[in-house]
Amino acid sequence: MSMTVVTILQLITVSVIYCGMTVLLPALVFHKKLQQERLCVRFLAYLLTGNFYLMNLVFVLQLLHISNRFTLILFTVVPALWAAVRINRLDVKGYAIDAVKQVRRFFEGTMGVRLVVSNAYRGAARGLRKPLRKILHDFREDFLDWAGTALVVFLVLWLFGTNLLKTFGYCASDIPVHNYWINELGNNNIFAAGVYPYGFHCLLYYIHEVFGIETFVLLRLFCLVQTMLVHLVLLAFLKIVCRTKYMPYLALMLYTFGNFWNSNVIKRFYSSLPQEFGMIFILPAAVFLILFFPARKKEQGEKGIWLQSTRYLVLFGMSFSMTLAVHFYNTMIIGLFCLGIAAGYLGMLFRRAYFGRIMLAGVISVLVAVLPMGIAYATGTPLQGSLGWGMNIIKGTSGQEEQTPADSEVQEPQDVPGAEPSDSQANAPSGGGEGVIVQPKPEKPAKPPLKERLQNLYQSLQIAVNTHILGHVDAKGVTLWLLTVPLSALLGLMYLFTKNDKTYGSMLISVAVFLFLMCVLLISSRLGIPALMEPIRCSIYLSYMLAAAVALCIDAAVSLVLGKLPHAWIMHFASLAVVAALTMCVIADGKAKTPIYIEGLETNGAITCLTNILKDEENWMFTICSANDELRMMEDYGYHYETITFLREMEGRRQANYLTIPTPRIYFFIEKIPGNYTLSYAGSGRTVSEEGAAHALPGGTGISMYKGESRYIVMSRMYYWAEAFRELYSTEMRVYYETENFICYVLEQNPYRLFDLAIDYGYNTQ
Amino acid sequence: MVSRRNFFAMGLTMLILFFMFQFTGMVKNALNEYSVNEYESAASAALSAGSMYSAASAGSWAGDADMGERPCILFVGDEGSGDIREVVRWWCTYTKRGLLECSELSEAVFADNGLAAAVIDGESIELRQALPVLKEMAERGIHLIFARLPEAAELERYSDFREFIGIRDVHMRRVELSGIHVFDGFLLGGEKIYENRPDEEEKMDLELEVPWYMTGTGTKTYIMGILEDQGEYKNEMLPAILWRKSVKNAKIFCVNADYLTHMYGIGFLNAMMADTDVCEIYPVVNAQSLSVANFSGFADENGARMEELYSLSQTAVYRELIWPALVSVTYRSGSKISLLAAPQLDYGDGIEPNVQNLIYYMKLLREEHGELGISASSLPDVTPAGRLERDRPFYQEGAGDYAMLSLYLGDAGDIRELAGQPLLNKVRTVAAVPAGEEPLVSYLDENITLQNAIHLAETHTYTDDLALMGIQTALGYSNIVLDLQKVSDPPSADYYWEKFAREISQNIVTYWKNYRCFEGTTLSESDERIRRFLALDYRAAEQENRIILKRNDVEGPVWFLLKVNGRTVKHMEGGTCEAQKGGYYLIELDAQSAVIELEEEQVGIHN
Repeated sequence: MSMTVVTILQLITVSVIYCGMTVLLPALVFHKKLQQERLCVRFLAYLLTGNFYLMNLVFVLQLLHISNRFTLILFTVVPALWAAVRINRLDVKGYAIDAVKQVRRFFEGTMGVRLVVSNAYRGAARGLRKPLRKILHDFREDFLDWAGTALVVFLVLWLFGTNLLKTFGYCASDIPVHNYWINELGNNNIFAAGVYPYGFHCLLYYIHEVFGIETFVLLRLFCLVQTMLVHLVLLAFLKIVCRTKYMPYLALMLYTFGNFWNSNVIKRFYSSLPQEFGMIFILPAAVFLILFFPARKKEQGEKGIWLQSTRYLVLFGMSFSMTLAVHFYNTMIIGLFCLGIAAGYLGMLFRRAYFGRIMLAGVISVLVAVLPMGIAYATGTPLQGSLGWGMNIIKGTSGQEEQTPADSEVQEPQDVPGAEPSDSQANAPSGGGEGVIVQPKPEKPAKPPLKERLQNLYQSLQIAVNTHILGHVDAKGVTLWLLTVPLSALLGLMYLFTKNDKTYGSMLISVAVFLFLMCVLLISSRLGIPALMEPIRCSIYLSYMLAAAVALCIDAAVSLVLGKLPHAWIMHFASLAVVAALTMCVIADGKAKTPIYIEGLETNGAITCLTNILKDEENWMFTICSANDELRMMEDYGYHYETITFLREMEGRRQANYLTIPTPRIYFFIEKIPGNYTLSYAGSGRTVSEEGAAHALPGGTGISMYKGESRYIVMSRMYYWAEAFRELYSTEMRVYYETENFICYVLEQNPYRLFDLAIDYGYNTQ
Repeated sequence: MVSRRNFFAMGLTMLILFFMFQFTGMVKNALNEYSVNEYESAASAALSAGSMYSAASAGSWAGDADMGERPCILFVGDEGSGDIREVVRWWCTYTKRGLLECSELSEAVFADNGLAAAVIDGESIELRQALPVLKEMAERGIHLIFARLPEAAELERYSDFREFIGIRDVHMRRVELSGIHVFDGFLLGGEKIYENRPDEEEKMDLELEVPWYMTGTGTKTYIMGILEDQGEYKNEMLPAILWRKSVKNAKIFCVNADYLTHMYGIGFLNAMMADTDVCEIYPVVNAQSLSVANFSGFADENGARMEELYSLSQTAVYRELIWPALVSVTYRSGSKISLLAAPQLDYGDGIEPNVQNLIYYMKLLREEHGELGISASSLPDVTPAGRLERDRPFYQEGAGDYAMLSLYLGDAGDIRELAGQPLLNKVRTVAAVPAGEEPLVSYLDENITLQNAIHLAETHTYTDDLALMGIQTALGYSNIVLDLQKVSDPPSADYYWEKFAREISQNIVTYWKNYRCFEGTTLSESDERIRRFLALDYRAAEQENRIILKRNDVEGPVWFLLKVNGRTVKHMEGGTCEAQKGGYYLIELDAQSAVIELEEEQVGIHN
């Protein structure tokens, strides 16, 4: 079985597990409660409920130090069953009595196997008939909708999944840190490197612990699942807020299929990172807050908690809470969106029936998210480095001290390699506030007139959008995209003056204000306000909201023109025609996106070997000697020896008298064509050579010796050591796996009498 | 009351049952061809000492010319190296290699004569002079085997030599070990720890006083010494007993013990050669025999003692106690009984053996696929020739035309003294207990093979076990002799049957367990295999993961042991191949040639 097939199977498994646990299971439990809602609302509600429960379950169990497979399954299955029984009013007693009767009849011989099978079949058919019919009916009714959704799924799989089949390694340098934190959850050691938003880690840990999928496999592949959900959530959001049926697909087409965007905007989607995972929860929070207002209005100030509007607020709260629990950047974005919604629904917000509930929901959601971190902090766990940095930003003291992440092994910018990081980015810390630039305060020049200042600001915005979001289009193009902001506001205002569509207008104004605030955030350093988020990160959020804004503007315009017609299908058809026409334009203009290839930080060979080794070897009976990344991937299964440690102990001043590694098998991972590991150099792409081995062993700490030319030297020395050792132990040291750019040796030794690995291989440092 | 009809029916049923039970016994008895030796085969009758292959006298390989000639072995040793020379000579005979001998390294001519390895008695060389020659040999890819190491004091002096053979440090010139640890993957039989344990003190008979050499870089240790108190020493620092040092294309093996002065050392030599290259193939006998000697359940001798010990006569003891135990042991060990009968053990008591007993055991033997042979070891009051003379009428009357193919001579017999004995007309093989270092399998004369015992069944010391491992590795052969002479007249409580049976059962069943891959045979069967083994010549050549194996035209199947390092056998044509532990494969070659396909060990399923 090839690694590609294995990857596809793993991907299917991970997707099924994640969607099963976060969408299907909540759907089974809550479908009766939400059956009146639209499918897209239900989808978001299930998604939020599932994620919220699992995330917080792990938080609670971790804080109690009782998290393990048994407790996780117990506290998933029992509450799910209990809730399903309560909500769906299942006659459990009746089912149990019936089951006992059947069993008794079977054992008494009055019921044969054939009857048991036929009963089971009839029962299953009875249970599934109704939902299947409904699904088929929906499918027939909304065939184009389903086809559009399928197309979106296909596009995401094609554009973002292809790379997973070509690149097996991690594509971002801070994933090993996340891997380590997830591994530590296995030891009930939450916040291993300090207090940090752990929602993403909790969820992956849950899947790993309950379903036994290796963490490194999850971190390799989960990016596609989360990217898929980011897109589906965007689609669901637009399906909820748009008035025309097919206009949401325009946003998806522009965002996913259109090749308008700067590569930085999409490259992070090729890695499983918390920020991108947290994006799943931004739009649901916004949409449920938007849905709250009309729902509450309909209730006409009715009191009580079992109301539809309350349900929306609860879902908003869960979503908001999760943005905070996963990554603070997402909270900032949803915070801005909330401000936009506040502006859009200003007329309703401060009414008594609304304000108190919203505030309560907001406070509770923040508390729920912050509580685990607060408890940990109160019990003495320090803040993780990047969190401290975030706090300083908020306090306005960010420039006063240099922040470093807690994990010193991968003190790397977490940007995707090849993403043309700025100079300052190279020093950016990892974690929640990873990669944000601390801008030096500009000297105050003499104030130009307001008009000129506004012009300058607009120009800055154009440049920022052009640089960070769009793929360097002309100024007109940028203006066209930015025009969506005032256009949304204008259309919103127009709707505000209609009789029945005020809430739609409010929504449009909310989006417009949100986009405006995002633009302000994008050029915040230019405005002289604290740069809460660096433009590269901000652009990720702004890009998909710009695509959504285009769809919303056209939706509003079409709806304004055709919405009053007696036949709604004309409006829907018009939306379909617009989507089709623009799609054709995009294709004709050569703006269709194709999959991009992101180089992994380690070779495919290394992941292939690791997968094989973990499959073949008994746990703790092997050691892998490699450069860095495998350390966290395999630390729950075997031992790891750093290549640099090995070389340093084997030779030079710190040479061990008799260097041994006490496992029966030792694997040596060596890159024959060493990668750059985020740092290229003049001779990048060279094959290991005697000339490389002749260089002195690089010094330094952390992983600096694994970057750039140092990596070439380390790999060259390691290669010649391995070849020399193989000459001495020709039958014991064998090539385990070899490709053009990677080689893995395996050394079999007697654990009772270990080999001395310190040999003179011709390049020893004296 | 039972009606007549019912009574009749019951009687008829009982009659039928009675008939059925009796019938099977009667049929078995009637069809038992006990008077025919089922192992009397003409297959290898033509093979005699003259057919034995010798590399020295053999002409060039008659098969394909491209198979090439097998490289020779050089032995370097002086007058004091007699035992080692004998071991190396027989090793070369068994592995079909040519042997060159010289007393000094300087005499060695190794430039163009295709040397595979040199076995050197380290005590016979002068280090300073030898080192350049040895280095040159190593440079040329000739493997070096130091059957004995030079004196520790000398090694201490010559650091260059020490480094050359992989000694980092002479830690102590003499150290008392508490045992040795034979690591897995070297000899067949796997990992063994021979250590002085309170309950097994009587088993320890290994040489335990050795110099303490700490091995260095590039070495691999196969046998390590164990200290009573290891203290702070890591395993890697413990005294090395047998190790390997790699020098470019050659391997240097050092034996810091006397293993190569014993005949079982041939197994060590094979194991060393098997570790020099990626694959090694050599012929083996594939025969495991259990020789039950001096089985004297035919006459009620020593009656008073037997009555006293067992409340049974001697024939009853053999029939009721000994025979069932023997059958049990053979079942559990997968062996066959070679029953070497002794009609009498006391020829002066006037008690004659009963022929019916012989027939009885012949029938049982036939059922168990065993074989009857003759015991002619010397007794206190009668010579082997005398015994045969006295036993002849008994055998003639009881065994009739049964072909007595095997003979037991004990430890002091000489077949030449028995020439002309009518009973030995058909004898083709002799089982013996060697008094010294004798070849394990060979010809005693032109037509009679010798099958030396590895050890006696009642004892199994650590040396016996090591010897068993060595010999199994070298020849896939063993012959364990269970001599019942002392059971018939126990000199001590150790020979009372209940204790003796426990010991033999434990020794045979436990220690043969690891060699179940080899076939259980009677002495005649193994004789046939030994004849083929000794007559065999073969060539093996490896080409692109395929081993082409060819042999001369010896009739019948022959066996080989193949060791492949880091690869597995994928497929074999022309024979069968069975994987064993430690990377060994037992190959049965039925045809004249075979092709063995090898493959790299699978990385796993993903690539």
